[in-house]
Amino acid sequence: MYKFNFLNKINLEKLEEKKRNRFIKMIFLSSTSCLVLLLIILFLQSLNIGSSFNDAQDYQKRITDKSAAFRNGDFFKYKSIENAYNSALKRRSITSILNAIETSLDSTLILDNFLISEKGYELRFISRTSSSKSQLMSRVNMLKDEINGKLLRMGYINDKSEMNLLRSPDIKKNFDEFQYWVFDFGGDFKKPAPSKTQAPQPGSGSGLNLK
Amino acid sequence: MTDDSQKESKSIGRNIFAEGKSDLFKNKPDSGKKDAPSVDSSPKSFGRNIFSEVQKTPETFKTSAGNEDLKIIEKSSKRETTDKKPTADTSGSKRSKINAVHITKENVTFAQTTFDGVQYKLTNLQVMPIELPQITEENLLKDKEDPEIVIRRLQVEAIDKVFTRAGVSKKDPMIVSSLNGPNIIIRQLYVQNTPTENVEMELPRLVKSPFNELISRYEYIPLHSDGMNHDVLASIVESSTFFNALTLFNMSGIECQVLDIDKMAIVNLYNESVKPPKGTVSCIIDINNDYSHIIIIPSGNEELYIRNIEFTYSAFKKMLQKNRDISVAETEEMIRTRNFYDYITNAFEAETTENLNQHYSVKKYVRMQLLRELQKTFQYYSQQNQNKIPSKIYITGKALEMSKFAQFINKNTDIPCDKLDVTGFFNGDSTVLDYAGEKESIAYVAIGLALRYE
Repeated sequence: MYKFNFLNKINLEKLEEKKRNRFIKMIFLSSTSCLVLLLIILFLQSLNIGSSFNDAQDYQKRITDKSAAFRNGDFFKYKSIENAYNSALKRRSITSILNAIETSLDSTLILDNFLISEKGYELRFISRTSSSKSQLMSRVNMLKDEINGKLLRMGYINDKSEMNLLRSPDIKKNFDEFQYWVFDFGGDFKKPAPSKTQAPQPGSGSGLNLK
Repeated sequence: MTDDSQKESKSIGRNIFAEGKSDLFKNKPDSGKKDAPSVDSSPKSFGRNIFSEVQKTPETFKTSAGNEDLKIIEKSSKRETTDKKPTADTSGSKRSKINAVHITKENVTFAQTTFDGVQYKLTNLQVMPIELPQITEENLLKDKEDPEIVIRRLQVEAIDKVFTRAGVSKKDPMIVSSLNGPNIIIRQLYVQNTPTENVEMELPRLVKSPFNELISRYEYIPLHSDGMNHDVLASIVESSTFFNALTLFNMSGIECQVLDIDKMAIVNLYNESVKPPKGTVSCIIDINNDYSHIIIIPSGNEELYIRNIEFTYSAFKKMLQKNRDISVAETEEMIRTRNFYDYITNAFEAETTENLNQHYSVKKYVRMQLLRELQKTFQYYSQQNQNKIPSKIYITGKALEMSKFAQFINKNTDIPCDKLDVTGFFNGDSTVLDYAGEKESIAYVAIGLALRYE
């Protein structure tokens, strides 16, 4: 039998094309289904479906432990970081001290000089008055108590390091019936101990508690 | 022209094959034995033998017909052939049914067969003629449509009807059709020193296409292979023929899986019908409306040889109509009833005018386009195949509608001639077989196409 088929090549091409299309279709369908499945899983995860309260507690505990371990172990790993932290703690607000002094003054007193260091401070006042020295001394004592009270409330000093009179009033200048008296106060700030951080306790809110 | 007519007149009433004294017919088979593979060295002498006449001037034949033969003789160069084992296209061989559709400008034919492993069964046959609109004075100027488009539309309509009547889906997984027409060349080739995968690439070099190389489609079927040497049957089809067929399938919605060649369907039909013994060489004269072939089919080591001829039913009908100056219907009636041998007699010529005989010589047409082509075919084949010529001639197609055509061929070739039986080997419903017998001149190609089982 003699059997030609002029469609052999076309049939083969069609078959190849069919196979190719089937393969592409399979790839497309499988990748699409994988993608859809992935999206579904992510969506379900975002809804926390599958997690319980105990799991959440465990997660929180693990996060807390890790945070504490990080701060104890890693956060202060380098000394320079600790120094910077401590120096920042020691820095005091001059404006708040000045504010405490200024509010204690009256019209006969002016602040002539103010020296502050890490350890202590010195204040020089000038008083213009016609009163006697004994009267002025009583006024100076009242001023010292008032300023001490304020600094004590602000936590810059404690009972053991109260501000003292370093120099008793001396007449610096006379003008008519008034005298210009000069006297100095001084004292040390209380010594703040370098603080280390503690891990936040459960329920204490976010942030750090510094001591 | 005058010389030809005088020359032809000498042969009137004689058997043109009988005086075969030439070497060509020394081994001619005995015409009295059907399908006999043996040859007879003393052919019967009934009259003049057209073969011996041509044999007298072999040089003239070679030179004058050389270029023409390149176009129409589908034959390869001589080579030693080994056992030919037809390796068929197996596509569809495992299907339960084969649906074959044969489409021409005149008919659409559908045939369905089944095979039980031993015998074929013809289960369905549908023939749908295509009636071209008759040109009348009324529609002559109105109808501006291209005739080709009209035919294409009518073909599509006929295909629809045929499939509807057959009850077969156009998307059936096994539909076979064929390419037909003159622009198909088939040649048997011997390809040497070529790997199997390169055979196809070698075809354009081995077989020169009569068409433009760029618009030629090559196909081949391996017949026998011996490592690097291959015996193949190659075909060249003009692309327009191929794509016209594809366009028609697309238009009609047919999903055709197998596209064969009608000539191969006829060869397969012959093999199934005759079942020739080994060594037999037979010939089929296939006459169609627009194209005709002479097919020499071996059943041994010889080559399959197909030659296109100009003798077609439409051309013959036209020639006869002009010669007689009669209507188409009258011409067809004449072809059906009048002895074909009459057309080459002086008595037939005397029935019309000398002028018409001169311009539309039926006798000359039959002798030159049919008998001479037959002679050239046999001569060429015998030269290429150890002086073998067909032991029997079968006629198919429109030749069956020509009165006493087989007797005419028999008388002129001295070779037994008969019509090819297209239904006898089938099993099945007698109604279908009777219908197939009735339409055998039309349905034979479709039936041949449906014989694709192993």
